[in-house]
Amino acid sequence: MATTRYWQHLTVGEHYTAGPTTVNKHDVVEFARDFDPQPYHMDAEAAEQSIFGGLCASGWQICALAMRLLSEALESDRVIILGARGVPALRWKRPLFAGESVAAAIELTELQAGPAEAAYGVAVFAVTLTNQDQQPVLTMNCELMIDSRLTEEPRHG
Amino acid sequence: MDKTPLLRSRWYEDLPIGEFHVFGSHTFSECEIVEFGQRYAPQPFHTDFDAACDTLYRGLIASGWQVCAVWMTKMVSYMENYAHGVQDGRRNGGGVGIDELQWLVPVRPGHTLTFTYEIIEKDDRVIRDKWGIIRSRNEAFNQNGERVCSFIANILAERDPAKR
Repeated sequence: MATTRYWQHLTVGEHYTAGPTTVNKHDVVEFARDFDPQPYHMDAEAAEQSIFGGLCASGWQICALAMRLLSEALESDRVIILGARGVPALRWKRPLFAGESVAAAIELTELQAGPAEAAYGVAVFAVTLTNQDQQPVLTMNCELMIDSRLTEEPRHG
Repeated sequence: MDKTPLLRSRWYEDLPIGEFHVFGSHTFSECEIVEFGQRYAPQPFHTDFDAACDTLYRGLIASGWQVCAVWMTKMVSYMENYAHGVQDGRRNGGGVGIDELQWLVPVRPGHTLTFTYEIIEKDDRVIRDKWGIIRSRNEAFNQNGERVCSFIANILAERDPAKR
């Protein structure tokens, strides 16, 4: 069985990828109805008249998708997320239109020890989501709490 | 009778630094926390009542992105109350980005958050001929008055054509 990679095992400069995942019209409208009911996220016709020029996902839905892709990338690398501390900066670079897909490129940019006795250390991940044409949709730096409960392996023999 | 358009229908030039609003409150249910977690933040403390009890949080907590998404809901409905009939998608240019987003205290099922907004800065650069950037400090407080989330939003507002 694959072993957990604890915070102590991580190194600055590590890369991960995740996705692509496609966001269809239903996903866009459903998220907007729940959280961001503005015309350019709900109504194709109104969206064409807006600054975006077409039906596109809420920026918060793009963030949530980025979190899911980041989670998937770390899970497949056997890194355990114990929480999220914050996002020092995020930028929406271009709209994500209904029917488009995004993939994540992730780099570990910084490691910070957690508080004394804490079960975690902090890792900062620079996440870039790009669409199917490799154009940037979202960039963000995400500070995650990574499991640091590394115990010495019992020695055999 | 027309409602007085206060927020969305105002131009960039008419939005003063220091303006403060309370967008309203929202109580988080277990069901909505799990639904959001299963879709976007698949850690056990967001997705499964029993598994969450074995985590650091000793129970379910909302994804931080759900807290932000609910902020958006409250902002949209609050502004609609002030700008009835002008939700035409033109003068609100959407978000540019977020700075200094912090999740400070866990949000659990049954917790009620109250969301506040204050304009703290205006970026006078003219973007695509007609937009300016409004920077606002946004905070969420729980039922005990603890600040659970804080961020700065950078949102486009349309400039007054007469002053461009």
